[in-house]
Amino acid sequence: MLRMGEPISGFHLLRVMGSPGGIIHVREGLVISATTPASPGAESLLIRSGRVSEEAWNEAYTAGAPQDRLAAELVDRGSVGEAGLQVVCLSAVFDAAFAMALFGIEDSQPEVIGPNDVPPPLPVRPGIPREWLARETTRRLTITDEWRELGVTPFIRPTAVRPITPMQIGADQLRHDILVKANGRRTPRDIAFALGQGLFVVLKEISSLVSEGLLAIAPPPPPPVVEEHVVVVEDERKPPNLPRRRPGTSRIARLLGADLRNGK
Amino acid sequence: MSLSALKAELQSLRERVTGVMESAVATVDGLVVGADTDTVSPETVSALAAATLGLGKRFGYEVGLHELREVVIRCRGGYIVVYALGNIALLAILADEGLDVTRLHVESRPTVERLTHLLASERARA
Repeated sequence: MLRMGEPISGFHLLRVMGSPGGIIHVREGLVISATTPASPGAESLLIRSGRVSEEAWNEAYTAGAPQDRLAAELVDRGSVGEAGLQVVCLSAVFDAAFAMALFGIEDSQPEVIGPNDVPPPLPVRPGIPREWLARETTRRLTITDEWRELGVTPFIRPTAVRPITPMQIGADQLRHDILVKANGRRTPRDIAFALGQGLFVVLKEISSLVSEGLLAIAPPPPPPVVEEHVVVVEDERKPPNLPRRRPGTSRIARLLGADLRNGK
Repeated sequence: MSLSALKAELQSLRERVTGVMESAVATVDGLVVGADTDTVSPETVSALAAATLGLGKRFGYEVGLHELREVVIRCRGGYIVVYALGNIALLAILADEGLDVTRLHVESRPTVERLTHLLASERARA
């Protein structure tokens, strides 16, 4: 039986409990897929961003998905380059692990995948070493602590300060798109889905826009659940009721069974 | 019935369930009761949701699958989910493709209960 922290072999699934949690697929100790409602998956990144058309996706899915060769069909049909596709799949996994950790991981449940289970549609090949994924997730979480100082958390619903004018040139397209979507209803996660961009990238741009005074943050509602590893800080100098993580408590490393000591 | 209580329920559902974007409560004949919408027209959503719910109920009975639980429509950009609120109204939810449908079914249950109660008590007062 697979347990957190023990070596992982074979083909397994980690069901991550949290709000909203997610699913991590592990094959021979390597992470091949991670999906969560908190960040756009590879399909959303490819289609919503316009990198692959809906028609091309449908054709490749029909031809390839039943034989577990959707990625090969997308590449063979010239919809996307092989390297480009792997980059998107990789970034989707890193973004999902980051998003799950950022929103809070309560527990995880390993499950063995049988021959009749449907495999993830766009796996990373051969897969990501768990230590690498855990280390990158920890690095990203550390960066979010800086954004938290600006009041930027996953729970905010930012609003553009000024009316958005159409872009004259194509530079800073993402910043412009974020300003258009920031209407006071959408969280960073909602904006990431609407644009087909990663949550980390969107949060980074939002932080930049907030620090430049182009995005305003309304007082956020209290987070839905305050977990045991989250401490609510009552400090007059900082935005109220924002949860703060204690260093090393994101649980992502333990969940992945990754050993981050000695720089491994 | 307090319209603000109804809207508070819809906003609370949007905040609790990742992926929920907009929602509306309508009568079974397609008239808006209250909505938490952004980009869509509440009137359009209400009318189409009423037709969808009616069709789903009829379909279930015609093919012997019995009582309707809910209607779930999956599109490229996300989901449309319609729940019945008793026999008098419906709750239509629009969500993006990141929605965890199972979680929505679990989380929406108390919302459906409370909305049904709100509407029933309003009806009793009328």
